[in-house]
Amino acid sequence: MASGVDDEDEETQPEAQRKKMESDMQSSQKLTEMNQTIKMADTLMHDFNGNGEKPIDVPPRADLRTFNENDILGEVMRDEKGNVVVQKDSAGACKDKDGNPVNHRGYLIEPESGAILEN
Amino acid sequence: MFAKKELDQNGEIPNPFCFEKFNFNGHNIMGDFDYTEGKPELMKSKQGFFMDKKGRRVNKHGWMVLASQGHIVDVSGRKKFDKAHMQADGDLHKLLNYQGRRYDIKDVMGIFEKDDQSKICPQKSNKGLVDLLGRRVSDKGYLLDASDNVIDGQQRVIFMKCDLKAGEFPKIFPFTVFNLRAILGDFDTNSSGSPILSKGRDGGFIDCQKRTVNVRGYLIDQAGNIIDTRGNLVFDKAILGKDGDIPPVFRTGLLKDDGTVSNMSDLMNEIEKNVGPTTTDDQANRPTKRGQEEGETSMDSQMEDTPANYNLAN
Repeated sequence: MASGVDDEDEETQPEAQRKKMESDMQSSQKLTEMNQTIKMADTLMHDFNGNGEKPIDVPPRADLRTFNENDILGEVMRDEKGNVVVQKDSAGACKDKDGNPVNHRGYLIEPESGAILEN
Repeated sequence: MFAKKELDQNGEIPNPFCFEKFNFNGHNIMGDFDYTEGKPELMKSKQGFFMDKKGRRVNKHGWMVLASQGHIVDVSGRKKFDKAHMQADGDLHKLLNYQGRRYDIKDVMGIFEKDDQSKICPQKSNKGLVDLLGRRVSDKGYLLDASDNVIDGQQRVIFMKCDLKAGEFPKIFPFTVFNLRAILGDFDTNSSGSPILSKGRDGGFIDCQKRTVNVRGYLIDQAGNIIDTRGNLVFDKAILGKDGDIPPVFRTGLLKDDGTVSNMSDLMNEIEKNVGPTTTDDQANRPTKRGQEEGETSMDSQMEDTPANYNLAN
């Protein structure tokens, strides 16, 4: 009997395994699709990313016409006319909304050198 | 990005970046859509937000935007336009070409399938790259005529081939600031307002400070390109008029010049007043070579403009 049970088990086990494998595969497939969706959403929402090109040129190149002022602007306020409004801290230094040093045009700067930095 | 020594006394970045500071490629900030009869099919989320077919947030004009902020971003997620520089309904302002004519950026953009990386997929044909409507396009996705000039959907030339750099044309908005004084030599003018210039050793013109200028009084380098007082390249010689003049849009008061026009509404009113809608006549007058466009624009027909006018005013 034991043998018979074993035989029966041996007969049913592959079937069960097959069903389990199919189930796993279906589940895996769904998971893969989900993962792809999640991955894509993640890419879209956080990275947006990437057509393989570098996002900006540093230093900027006039011959490529890729420079955009938002590449160097801090998180600045704007007035109703769209002009940049720069706030100063208690020490009189220009800062953006995130506390980063900017010049009075709102460009991100390195305080020591005064160089304009990439956003 | 810029060393301190490159900045001017007001902290502004050097030419040409200080007036070409709104560069973008229209396709890099446009969502990915299916098209029906040339019209994009926008999708809506359950919450009612517009989405493209990759699930990215777009506004009703199809521009990709940062959720809750409304700023336009590119495919890399980098902000390209602040909401304050957009129209109230989320669209981009009309741009200006070198002649001062207004145009809609979408009118010069082909329509394409995009790949997984959101790059446009132009199709190849016997006439070169084409968009989904079979129109000839550049690798940047702009509509082209047979001479590779950038045209709009009605075949009107918006930018000539020589105006392009790396396939991109300058993105000039009504709020673009341009400092004409930075490229003008130092000279007196005669009674008709023309610059009084001396001849240099090499036969070219020089200003009062012995700097090389062209016949219109603009500072130039050895190749004839227009430079500013700090020596930065401002305009390539190729885009100058046959008399060495700079494109009309930069010398006819259309652009902001540090306080000459007080606000955006004034600017828009000025443009509405000065530049009427483009008519079919424009096509007939379409220039084929740089230098032939002088006298063909609405702005040029209204005023005789030389750098000297600005010099006197200043």
